[in-house]
Amino acid sequence: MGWRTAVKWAWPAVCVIVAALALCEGVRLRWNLWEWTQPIRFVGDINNGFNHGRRASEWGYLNVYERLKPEPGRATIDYGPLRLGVMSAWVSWLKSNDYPTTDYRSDDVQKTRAYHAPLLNFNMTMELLAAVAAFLLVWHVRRRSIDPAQHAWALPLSLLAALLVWFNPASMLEAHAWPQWDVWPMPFFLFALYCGLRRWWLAAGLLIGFGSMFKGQILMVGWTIPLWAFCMGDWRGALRTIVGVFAAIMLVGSPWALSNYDEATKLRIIHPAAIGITVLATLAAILVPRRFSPALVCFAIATSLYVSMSWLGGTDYWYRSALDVGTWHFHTMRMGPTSNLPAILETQWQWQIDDLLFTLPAFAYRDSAGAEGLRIGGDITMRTLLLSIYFGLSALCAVRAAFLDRGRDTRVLLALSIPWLLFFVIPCQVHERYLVFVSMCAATWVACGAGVTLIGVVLTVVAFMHVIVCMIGSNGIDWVGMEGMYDSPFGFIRRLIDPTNPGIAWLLLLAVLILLYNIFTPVRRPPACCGNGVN
Amino acid sequence: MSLPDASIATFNTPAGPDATPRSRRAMIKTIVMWTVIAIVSVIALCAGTKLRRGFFDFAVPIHFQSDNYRNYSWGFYTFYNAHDRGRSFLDTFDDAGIQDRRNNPYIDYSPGRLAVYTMWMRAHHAVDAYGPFPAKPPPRANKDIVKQAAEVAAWQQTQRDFWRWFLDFNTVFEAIGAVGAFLLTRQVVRSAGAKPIRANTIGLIAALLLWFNMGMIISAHGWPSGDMWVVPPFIWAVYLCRRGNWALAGAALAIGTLFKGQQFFVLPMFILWPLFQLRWRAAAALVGGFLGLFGLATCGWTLTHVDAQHVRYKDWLAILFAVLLPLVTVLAAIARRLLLPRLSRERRWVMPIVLGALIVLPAALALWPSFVWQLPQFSDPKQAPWIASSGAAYLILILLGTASALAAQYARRWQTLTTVGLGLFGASALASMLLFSTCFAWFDAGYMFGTDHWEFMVMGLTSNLPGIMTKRFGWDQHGGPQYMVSLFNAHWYTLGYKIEMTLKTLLFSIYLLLLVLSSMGVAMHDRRNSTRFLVAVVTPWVLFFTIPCQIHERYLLFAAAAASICIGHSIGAALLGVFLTAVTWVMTIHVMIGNQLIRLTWNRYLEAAYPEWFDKKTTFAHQLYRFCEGSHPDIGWAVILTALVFLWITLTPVWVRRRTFPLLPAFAVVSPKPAPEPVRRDEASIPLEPQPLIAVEPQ
Repeated sequence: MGWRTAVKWAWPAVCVIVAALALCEGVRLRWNLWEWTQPIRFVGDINNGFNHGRRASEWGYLNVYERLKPEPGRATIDYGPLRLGVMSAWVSWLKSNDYPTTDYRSDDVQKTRAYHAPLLNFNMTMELLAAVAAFLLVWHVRRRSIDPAQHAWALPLSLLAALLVWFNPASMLEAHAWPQWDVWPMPFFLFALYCGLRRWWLAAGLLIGFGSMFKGQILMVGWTIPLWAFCMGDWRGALRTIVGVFAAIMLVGSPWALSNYDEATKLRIIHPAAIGITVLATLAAILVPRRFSPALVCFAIATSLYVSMSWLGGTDYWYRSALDVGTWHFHTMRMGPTSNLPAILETQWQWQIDDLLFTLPAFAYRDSAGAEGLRIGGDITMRTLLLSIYFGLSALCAVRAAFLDRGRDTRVLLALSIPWLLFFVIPCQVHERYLVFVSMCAATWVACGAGVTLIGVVLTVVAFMHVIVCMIGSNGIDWVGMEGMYDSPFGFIRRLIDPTNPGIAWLLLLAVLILLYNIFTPVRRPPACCGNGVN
Repeated sequence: MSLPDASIATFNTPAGPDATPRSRRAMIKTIVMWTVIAIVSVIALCAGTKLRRGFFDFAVPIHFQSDNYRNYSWGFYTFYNAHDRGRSFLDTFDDAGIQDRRNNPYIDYSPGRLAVYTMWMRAHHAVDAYGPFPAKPPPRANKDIVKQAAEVAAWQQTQRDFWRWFLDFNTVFEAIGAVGAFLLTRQVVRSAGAKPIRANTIGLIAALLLWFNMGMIISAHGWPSGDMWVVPPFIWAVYLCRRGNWALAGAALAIGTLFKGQQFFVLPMFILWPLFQLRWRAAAALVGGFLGLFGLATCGWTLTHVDAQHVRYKDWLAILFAVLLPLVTVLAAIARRLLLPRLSRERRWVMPIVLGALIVLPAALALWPSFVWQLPQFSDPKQAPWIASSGAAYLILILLGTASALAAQYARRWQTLTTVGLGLFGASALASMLLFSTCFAWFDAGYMFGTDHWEFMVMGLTSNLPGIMTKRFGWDQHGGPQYMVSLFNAHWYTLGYKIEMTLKTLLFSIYLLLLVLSSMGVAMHDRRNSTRFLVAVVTPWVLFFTIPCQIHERYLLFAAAAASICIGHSIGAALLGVFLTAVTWVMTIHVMIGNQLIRLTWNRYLEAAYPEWFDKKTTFAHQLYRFCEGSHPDIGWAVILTALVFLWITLTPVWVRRRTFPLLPAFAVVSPKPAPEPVRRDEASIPLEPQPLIAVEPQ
């Protein structure tokens, strides 16, 4: 082996060693994090998860939605089917290993990591997958760039992106100390971006759809992917993505779409007609066309399942729980100590979510009974306005992403991630944890340059602050009179971070503007023959 | 070897009767370009002047009266002294003396600022002799529209008449700043390789951004104050530095410092910038220019002293010292220049001794008696409270002597000698305050009063780091700056010593550290001809507002106005400047309408003066106040991020790709022989004769 070969393989070898070390250290760090953060555990969320898992285990996984019946004004469960499935599997595992499952925190063993191991390991797997996705994304956009200078550092930068995801303090804290499940949609989203960049639109749609069944928030940003495809002139790609999302959602919901729950007998009733239609439609989509088209098959399955759910006796409580409850459950300007635009509007200028701003001419659909359905226009409240601004800016990002993708510009990653930041900063009803989405996506910005990477680091710090201050606050560590706790490290952190809320939202707003400016500036390439000046 | 004449003519001959079509076209382009620039400038000048007048009228009821009344009072006092009492402009500071910081009224003006207020009162005296400060009656909401409009118009006219000179002075200064912004941006963009038309266009945009900067307009014509007097000298100083006129740049900075002491805070950047480039002569020239003008402008105080009866006497010892040192230095430099060629190489070692003697002996002779007389006074805190011991005086003497000797050794040209002479004069004159206890009150009032008068975290409603610390983290607004911050408590790390400093010192040290880093960035981008230079020179102003304690809300104006030149780097940087302008505007008006009564008055005024814009019972002022109140101090987070972005742009180098020139055979350019035919591909393998690396012109 000559020295040239050695040099050629040196980088990959170093990267593999670094990745292996990082993997081991990351796992160890996560295990320790659970112990370090015992006093500030956010018990409410895991308690919810435990209870839903226990119900699924006792009532049957498929019967939970119909028995709890999430309806307007009665938000009993806001879990998607896959999320519920994870919780159900966890409780089943606990039962099979003889752990106490009557009530959460009834036993000291329930404070241990071993008790939560399946859940935390699942979180860790998702983080690992997100790191792999970040690696692939950065590698891909750097290697395909027009500028040859971008190719040189593709491998180290990809590894850096993966490490930034893997060692992201905000996501680690959120997934292994809180613990919460906000990291679950991230690998789906990042892999969907990768599939989009490779023009595997159906796969991208399927990923978004499956991700939404874990956490519905992914749909708030996932819709930019078909728009991105459409703006590139690939309307077939856009349709494939939409079909993919639709099919994934309906496939996950198929057990409910094809059956119903009988409250009298407490048994599920399967509808043969619905199954028959679905099978027939699928077979038709496979056999009738001259060429096999996965998109067509997906479309046939999704449509037939939807028809079954709507008109052939299936139920849609699963769908409402996954995607609808969250939109009206917490009807406030913000949830928790969130520092964003609505928080500033609320605390500094006393705006409220339902404050009427102005009225536009309205077009509304009314059914035969006169009940109003879809409405466009009419009274514009603060919630509507902010949501509209968010959708408008995200749409602009998607359009710009199409241009950047066409030009093989690395900033396409930036353009496709900014909607996550917009989703945190602009609309109402946003939880403080949702900045974790941004901080994980921001790892891919290493492909775009050091400046935006540093902004990503700043956003990660802010996300970390949001998460930890909420955890500490939920445990009453700031209570005056709790001896020893106020002067504990957590009390100090609380005192340090609490005053930044919600003022630091100004920083986030400026960061949004800087990033938007960054993606909308044209590429500046040096002219073929210029002076010795530089810009 | 010489180039053929034709090639020289093509590039260098000005357009004339024999001009080529290409040069004629270029000339036409140039004429058109400058005509457009002139037209745009004239239109902007008219529009800007109108805007300023309009804004002044709009904001009449919310002028910041306490500042304005003090400006009027001190200007009037000084004018009255000189005009009616047979005293002089110089006496105001000495009448106030070394002020107790709790005094009210107090004077915290630098000499240039007081001079402007005095001239304003002088001009006003010609129009309205001994006219009082115009009162501010709120125009009553009159039902008779005609009468009401007439009342408001008359009142506006009274205000305009009173303020005219001051506002015109501000306008002229702003125009000078805009011209400076044009020249600076144009020069930097041009030297970065842009074509003239692009450089001129960007320069014009920079000038327009400065001219229409609302932060500057609200400060100069809404408040109205003289805070913007810092910006034009700063911009001109940067421009002059870029052109290599370091001494003039120092003079420009001196002008700025004479108007506002805040100029001192970025002065280190101008000294460090050439030093990081290892151009110590440039740094010396800048310091010389600064000290020369500053010392000359203030020698009325530094070379005189005042007795107990407030009678001013010339201090002949100080005058002798201030004149003798530069004179001897200049003479020594001339003597060296004349003598050195006549000395043989073996005897040149005599020169340093001769020079040293020439400088040190007269200085020592001049100083000895003064020391004998003045030394006892150094221990008297009333005479010079800021002197720790006479050691400081000796240190100054040593510095001056060293500077003098170096100048005599290295000064070559007459311009350098002039700078050296003036600089040494200024330095000696300023040192006289210490050495001969000449008048010191002007320095105390102008430059020291402000640093310890307002011992607060922030002054006014400032949205910066100390503002956030005060309002959100509960730091004491009054005691905060003096709060002891303990650094490095780990004893093993500091060998058992605890490092403690006040918060004020800590924040200022951070600022200084970042200022040094910014200066490195300035030097780097200047050397690389990068347009990032334009951002780098603004960064210290952004940091100056963001980090230290005791900052007024208006001081973001310096960064916001100077940032207009950032358009030369990128639109993004210019947009950050626009953001800073918006923030400074919000903070300034927030203070102006901070009083409930003033807001009510303004509402009534607006509905009377602008009925077409404002309804009856308008609450515009209240709404505006509510908006401003909501942004304070949290918008400081965004300012901090802006400072970080500026710092990032300043510190990141732009890698210059090495230019690759095509390897043409040299004789293709200079040889009259026809170029050799290109080698065909099938002949490429045939070895050619080695070509000469440097072509020799054929005989």
